[in-house]
Amino acid sequence: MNSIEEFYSLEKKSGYAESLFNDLSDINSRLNAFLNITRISGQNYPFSVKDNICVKNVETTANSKILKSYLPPFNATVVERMLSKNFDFIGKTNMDEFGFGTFGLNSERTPRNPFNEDYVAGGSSSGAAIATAVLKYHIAIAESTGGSISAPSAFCGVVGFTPTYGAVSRHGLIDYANSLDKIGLMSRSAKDIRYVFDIIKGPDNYDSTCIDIEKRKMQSDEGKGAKNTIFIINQINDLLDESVKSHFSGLVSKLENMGFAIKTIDFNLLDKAIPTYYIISMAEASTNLARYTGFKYGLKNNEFSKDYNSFFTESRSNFGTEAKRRIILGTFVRGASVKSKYYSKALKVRGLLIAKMKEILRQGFILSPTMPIMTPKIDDANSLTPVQNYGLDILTIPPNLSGFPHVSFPYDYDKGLPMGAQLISDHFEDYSLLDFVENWENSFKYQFKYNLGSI
Amino acid sequence: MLHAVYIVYVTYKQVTALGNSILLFILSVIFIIFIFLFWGMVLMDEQEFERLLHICRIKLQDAEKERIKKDIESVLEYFDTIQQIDTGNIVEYYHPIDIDERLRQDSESQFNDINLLLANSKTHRFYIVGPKI
Repeated sequence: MNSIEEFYSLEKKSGYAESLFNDLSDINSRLNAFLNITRISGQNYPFSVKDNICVKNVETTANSKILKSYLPPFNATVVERMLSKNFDFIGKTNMDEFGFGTFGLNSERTPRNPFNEDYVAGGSSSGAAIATAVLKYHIAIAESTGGSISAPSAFCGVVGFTPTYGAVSRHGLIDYANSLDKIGLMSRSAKDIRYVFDIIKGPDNYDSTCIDIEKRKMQSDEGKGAKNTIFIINQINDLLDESVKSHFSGLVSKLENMGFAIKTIDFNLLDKAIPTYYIISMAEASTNLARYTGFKYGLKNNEFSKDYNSFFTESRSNFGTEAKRRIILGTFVRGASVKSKYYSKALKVRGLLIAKMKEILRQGFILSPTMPIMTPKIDDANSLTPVQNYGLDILTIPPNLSGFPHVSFPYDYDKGLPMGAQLISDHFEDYSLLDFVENWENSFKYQFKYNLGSI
Repeated sequence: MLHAVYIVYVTYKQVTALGNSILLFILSVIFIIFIFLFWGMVLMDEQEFERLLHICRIKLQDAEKERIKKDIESVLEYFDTIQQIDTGNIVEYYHPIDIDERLRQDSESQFNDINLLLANSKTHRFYIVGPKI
């Protein structure tokens, strides 16, 4: 039984919804999971929505001052599909501004790890992961561009599923990088994710890039990877903290005992995925963020007597530092004199990476720790330079850049903090990941510090 | 650019003073032009940075400008590492998977919540008010 079926099978006491609202508001004042919380009926299973996905008439800002007070006049397709199945919207979750971050620290309200508040929750879907870790019955609609589902899922000890690129409609998503953005899910179990993924996936007239993964799987020879073989990339050994390495080898031994064939393989291009990803994502972000001019969405600059350029420039001072940095770099790499050197080259390297990864994924899964480091303290993460920061995405970027489905799942605990591993499969093989995690959950029990809304 | 002209002029004076051949002079000019172009492609100088800020319509305070400029230089060096990769005949991947071209009918449709749409802007009648162009 998944937790949705369990929720509906239990009788709720009167005042259940009110008490949940109060408890959640109380804990939210410390952990900053939600940017706003909506009162729910208590009769329907709740779902949260990352703040870069539109919910009709609910403030949606991608956690940026430049979209402050923007009220979407429509629901994103994914929200519409959840509401049509009687799920209750419970609130918008905290995130790095426009999804620009690995630790959630590009947010004015610092998200905190639910296992220890001195530590990061991860980003950019920070709030979605915290909400999942504190609420007993809840599923989070999140979004990933370069690891924004996997990283916070690992740090907060929940299951984070990023589907094949295009499997879920992006109509109503505030774009960061169109060729990389994917809407996905976070939950406390793979069973819940399977149930909700069935609802939200599939073609949509409002998104021409949205595909039918089952149809595509049947049409091609893709997704035929052996389901009992797991590849570990040799090159990750030099990247991992000693502690991560030690815990991860424990996981590998457990999987061997469960009957999986573990093989090692070389993937020399691994470290080149990061610059490739950042060139493409910044180039696309710089064009997407050009639409924020200070009069059409959210923030209103009423200095209409100013000329267009001054008006536009003044309005855009509301972007945060990381957003400004990415707009400037993204504009630069698209420039006529350097386009072939950076942007076009990165698009070709992406092709090469996909081909190389596909060679491996046709023979089995790829497994790694989700993050190469132990959960850092907030102060330590704040002192990283941009290049150090980007470098920590090395394990989550390859599948995101290549559109391969992947899932992060808790596999161990160290000093009270959870650790996550990431499994990648071939395009359209989304369900084989969920099968794997369901199997894993039969032998490993996840731990949670909070269980708000228990019945 | 004035710097380049000045360097060419100084080089010319030195070459002629030393009585070397005109060939040496031409080679020096080619070398300087190459260095100049290459330099412009790799690093972002002050002028290029200001030009970018203008294109992006981004205005930075002095402290933020210094920090971002320094960060950008190190990020660009990092980006340069993909130049070592031989991409051979690989085409540019604009999407990670093949996306079929799917077009809709070019037909009129009604948006039901026009008032909600307009509520996000300052309006005059049913127009969105913007700055003068």
